[in-house]
Amino acid sequence: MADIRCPMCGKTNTAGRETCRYCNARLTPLIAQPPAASRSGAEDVPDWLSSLRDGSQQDLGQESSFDGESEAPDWLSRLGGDAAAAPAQTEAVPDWFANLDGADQSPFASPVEPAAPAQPAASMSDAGDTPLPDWFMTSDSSNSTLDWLKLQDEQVAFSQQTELIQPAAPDLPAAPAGDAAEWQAETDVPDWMAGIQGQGDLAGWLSESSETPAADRFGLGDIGSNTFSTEPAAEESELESAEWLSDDQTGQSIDDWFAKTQGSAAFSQSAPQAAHTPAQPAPVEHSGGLPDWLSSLNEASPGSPEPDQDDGSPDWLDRVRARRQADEDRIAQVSPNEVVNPFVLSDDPENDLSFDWLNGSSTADEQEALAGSVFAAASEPEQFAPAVPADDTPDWLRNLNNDFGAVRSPAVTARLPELDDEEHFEAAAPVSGGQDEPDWLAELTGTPGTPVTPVTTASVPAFIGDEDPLEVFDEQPVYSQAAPDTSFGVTPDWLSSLSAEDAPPAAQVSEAEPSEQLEPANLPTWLEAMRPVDAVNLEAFDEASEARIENAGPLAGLRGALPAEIAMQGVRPPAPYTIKLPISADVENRLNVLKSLLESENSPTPQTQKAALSSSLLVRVAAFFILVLVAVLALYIGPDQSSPVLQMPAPAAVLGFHQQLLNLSSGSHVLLALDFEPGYSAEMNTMLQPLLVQLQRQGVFVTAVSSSISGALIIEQAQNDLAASTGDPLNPWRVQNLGYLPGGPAGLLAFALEPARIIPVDVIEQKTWADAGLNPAAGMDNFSLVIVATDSTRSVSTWAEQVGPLLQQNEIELLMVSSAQSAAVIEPFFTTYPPVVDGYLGGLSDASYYLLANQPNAAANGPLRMYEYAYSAALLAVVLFVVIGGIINLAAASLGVRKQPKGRSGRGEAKA
Amino acid sequence: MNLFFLSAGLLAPVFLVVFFILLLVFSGLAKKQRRELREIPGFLQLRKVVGQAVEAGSRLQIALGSRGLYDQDGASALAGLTILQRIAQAASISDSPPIATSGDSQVALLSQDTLQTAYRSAKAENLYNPLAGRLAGVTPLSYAAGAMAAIHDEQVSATIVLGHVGGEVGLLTAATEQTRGQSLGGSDNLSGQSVLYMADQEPIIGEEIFAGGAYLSSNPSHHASLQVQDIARWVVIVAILLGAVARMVGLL
Amino acid sequence: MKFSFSTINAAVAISAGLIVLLGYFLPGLEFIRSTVLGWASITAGFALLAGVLNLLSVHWAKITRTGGTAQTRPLGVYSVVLLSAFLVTLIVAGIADTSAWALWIYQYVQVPVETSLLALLAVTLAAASVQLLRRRFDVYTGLFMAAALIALIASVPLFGVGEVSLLSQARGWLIQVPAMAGIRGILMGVALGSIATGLRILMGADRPYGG
Repeated sequence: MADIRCPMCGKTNTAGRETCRYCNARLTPLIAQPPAASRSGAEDVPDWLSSLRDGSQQDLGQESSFDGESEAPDWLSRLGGDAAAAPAQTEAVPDWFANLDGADQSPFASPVEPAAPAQPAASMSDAGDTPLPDWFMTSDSSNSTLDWLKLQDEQVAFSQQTELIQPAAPDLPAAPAGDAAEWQAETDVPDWMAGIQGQGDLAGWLSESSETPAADRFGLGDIGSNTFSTEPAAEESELESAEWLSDDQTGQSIDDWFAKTQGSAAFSQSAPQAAHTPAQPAPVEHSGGLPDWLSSLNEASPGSPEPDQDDGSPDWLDRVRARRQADEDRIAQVSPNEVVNPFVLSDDPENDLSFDWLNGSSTADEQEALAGSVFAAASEPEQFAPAVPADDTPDWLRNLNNDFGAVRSPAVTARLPELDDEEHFEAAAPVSGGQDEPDWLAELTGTPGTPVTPVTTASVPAFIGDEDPLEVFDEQPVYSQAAPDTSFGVTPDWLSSLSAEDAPPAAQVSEAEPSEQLEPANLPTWLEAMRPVDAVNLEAFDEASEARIENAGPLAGLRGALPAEIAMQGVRPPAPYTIKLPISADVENRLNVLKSLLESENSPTPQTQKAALSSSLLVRVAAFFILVLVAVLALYIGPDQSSPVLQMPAPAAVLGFHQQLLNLSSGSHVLLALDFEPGYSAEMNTMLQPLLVQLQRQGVFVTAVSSSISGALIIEQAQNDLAASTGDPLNPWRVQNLGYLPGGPAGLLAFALEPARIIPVDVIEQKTWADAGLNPAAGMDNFSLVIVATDSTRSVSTWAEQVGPLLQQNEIELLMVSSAQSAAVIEPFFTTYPPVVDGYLGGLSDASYYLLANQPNAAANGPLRMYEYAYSAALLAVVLFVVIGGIINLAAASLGVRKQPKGRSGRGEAKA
Repeated sequence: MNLFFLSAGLLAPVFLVVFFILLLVFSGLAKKQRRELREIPGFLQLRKVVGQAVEAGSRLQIALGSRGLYDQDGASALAGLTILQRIAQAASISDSPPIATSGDSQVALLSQDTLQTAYRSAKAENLYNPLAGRLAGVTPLSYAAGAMAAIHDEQVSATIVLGHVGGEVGLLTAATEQTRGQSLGGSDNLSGQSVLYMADQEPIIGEEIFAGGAYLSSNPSHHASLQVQDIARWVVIVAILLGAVARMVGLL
Repeated sequence: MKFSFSTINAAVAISAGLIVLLGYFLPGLEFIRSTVLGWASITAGFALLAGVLNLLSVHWAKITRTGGTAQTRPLGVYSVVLLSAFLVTLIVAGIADTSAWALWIYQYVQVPVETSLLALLAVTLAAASVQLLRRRFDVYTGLFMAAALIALIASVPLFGVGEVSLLSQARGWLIQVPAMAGIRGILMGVALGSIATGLRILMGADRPYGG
């Protein structure tokens, strides 16, 4: 056999085990066998058996009319699988049975359509929705019938939570009135069932105990409807009346019956009820009304089957009885340790059944193993004392409860929390069976006279997985050695001799764990921090031993489940842990800055009022007033003749300038370039005045050009100023005004090469070069001297670099009149050899020297002298202002830096 | 003819040819390997100012000076246009795009074209405004007056001077200071350099303005030109020293 | 080969630059060079007109701008004055660029305005000089201030004192030696940078003309 996979934990177990060695879950389902019908010598396999065989191949627990959500436990599936190994003897499903659920097939042959999942499983009481067979329904039994059907509702509701098979309750045909045969013919009720009818109202016995749950009527609840109803009772004698299935006389519930009959918990919906009801099962006194076949079972002596009892029992029952007897005989010869493999074909091919347990051909060990794997744990073994197999009671049934403690499905256990309570599994009082009570049943129920061999094992749980599987094999015997009840056949040897000690070696729990122990991994720190290991008190889980059985919630009955309550009690808040990220100092500083910014968000920041008088503005105002006052004062005072400037020798550049002008002859032409901005016109015009006066006095013709845009106006302004200061206003000295010279240095170079072509006419009078007495083709040779008046160093360098070499080639002198700021640039051109610039006037001072040199008798209060006087005074004032002010600012800045914290500059405040 | 001028007449084309060849060679080498440039605080400050303006959404003014391309000072305007393109690319995403003012109409037209090219390269041509490149004045002082007006009217937060500006740049720096802005930049004019040295924290002196392309962009030709300039500078230094020695010994 | 405006622009710019440059060194290209320079001068004139139109557009946009708040919206008064002055000057100069009215505008409007700006510049520079040490206090700043003060003092005879020989010599040495050296070095570096910039344009590496 292949390894069995535990339905709970998914781990593989060795074949033959009943319980999982890891989680103690039931590996093999408990199958409550239908009440052993009297075995007949018929070779035909009973329909119900064959259908069971066939149906077991399918998923028995998938659908049911009661519970569409139930699923077949693995044990049942395996049973079905095992059953599939055996040749399935297909047999036509009896019609009566097929009509039970309205289907043509037995519920085992084909799955019954499940009910709606959201709805409770259709109960027997809902038979109104689904047509019940006629034999099932009576005129006055509709209510009664529905009563026990309704009672099934409660059990069905419980069954939905189980994994057990919830076989569909067949819809029993309504029991029609009338002759049984007629009824049988109409409904294809089997003979045994018809016999029942013959004895009375078929449905009557079914409905007699209207107060009793329907399960009681069948003795096994839905099981009865499935397992026991697949095949009708062959004989009334073989099948007891419903009364024996009911405990209405005693007023006991189906649970009690369960306790009595040691029915399979897998099939018993009343199992939990049985667990919950500690009532001692009272003996059931069966009154009349038992089916003959069932009565015959009671009458039959234990161990003395009456296979040949011709009481209307079906042949299969007769065969079962016969085989049972044979098995009993054989078992009696088998050692207790020998397990009878129920699936081994018997020697008697005629009596060969799918389930070898019926023929007892299996070995005792096999039987024991199978018993352990098949039968779920039941209640206390004492309670479900393996009734000494009566003659009619199959050993499997007799020992059914003993095997309940072998393996328990955890799922089942969870759903049957009460099963763990041993107190619930009290010794079921044997049903006091009457005369009609079959011995096997009596044995099961512990009726007087029935030797009940207590199960020597420990408490046998009422359900699968309820008990430690090892316990099953620890004590023995699981099954009594009483004579097996051969009513239903020979108890398989394996079943009867099943004991814990006889567990096959394969079933021995292997304590061997994987030898290789993996060392706990070292988790990375970040993952370790994510594990809330501290949040759960693992010790609490350790406290939950496997012995603990869950008694509440959906896991009721489950052993070894993690206790939520204990876990919650032990839950502690996760240990605080910090995720410290390594950050650099820069990041930390930025975080501190961000933090300070966030903290300062809500704190109002005082608005820094802009000072009306900033230090910068004050300094500017001070400079303005100082300069203006000094200049005005100097102008007011004015120079005198004894001014130091007049006593100093003139600079060489000034002397050279003066000398070049003196060398000009009358009637020569001079090119005068006025390259200064209108803003500098005051200074430049003041400086040009002596020059123009001298040129006018010497009778020199002047041709003026300007590289400034306002050149023409500049020239005109200079001419008018000259005319205003000297000369005849009515006949002003005229200068040829060529106007603006575009192009910058390139234009200047072009003009120097071809002046007549660049500017052909005068801007004012429109005189051509010829009219002015110039030779257009001569170019710059027309001019004896070139004077450039500029305020920028760039213009100085342009004229000196672009035009100077050309003038030197033509031996034309170049003079310059520049502002004081450009004087330093001209000096290299003056001092070089050959000099490019033959003389220059750099500023008002040089112009004053020139004036004195040219006009020694020039008035001291002339504009040039006055401006120069004021310029020198203002210059001195600026120097003093800069020196003193700089010292004061420096001192203030030093004091401010000391007050401020370190690292902060005061540039910003200085700017303000 | 004067030998001096004759030699000068021959030296100039030779110098230019050699300069050109070296420029090509180093441009090719610069594509493979770039040499590390010395730190110029002015350009570091410029990067910072541009970044701050972009982040604050304030406007920048790039003053390209008052000289045109026909002047000797036109080269500084061209260098200013190169830096203008880089600044415009960086500040194109600003809420207030930069403006470029100049005192010459030719430079004004080129600044418009440069801005458009920068916006196009930044895939933001729709944000280009032709009036961003404008003529502020035709004379240096009128240009200074126009640039001062732009500082107050356009809420300029920083004035970057990159061109030929004289002493009138003091007016620009004073206007920027009054608006609590920043002024930086450089000029090839000596007077302008003196004023900028007083007004700016990190002035760009002399020829450093021509190195802006190498410091602000990754154009290999700019890096190559810096290398060639360094070589030419040493050549000139050696020539001056040799000439001085030759003059002293009477050879010249 | 795909041609685009950028390629055409680059081709025109490079060819024109090479012609002008080579025209300075090669004898046969003088005529071409002068022609190209003449075209450049004409183009510069039209560029000036375009610049003026751009200026008018900017100030017209300032006048007609409606968006923004009262604080952000620029004052259109100065733009109105500018446009008005432009129109008046255009009319006056159109009649005669050197007429009395033009001269009057130049003499009583342009010159005072620019002179005022220069005066303001002088005050600003004086104030900046005062705060220089506080803004940046280091050795170079101290040397700068010292050189400036010596140059200022020694540029003219001291008021009431006259020329101080020591100061004059110091100024002379300062201007002719370190200042001039620095000036020449800066100008030389600027020249080299200008050469590199121009050659990059001739190479096509820099394209300020778009594309």
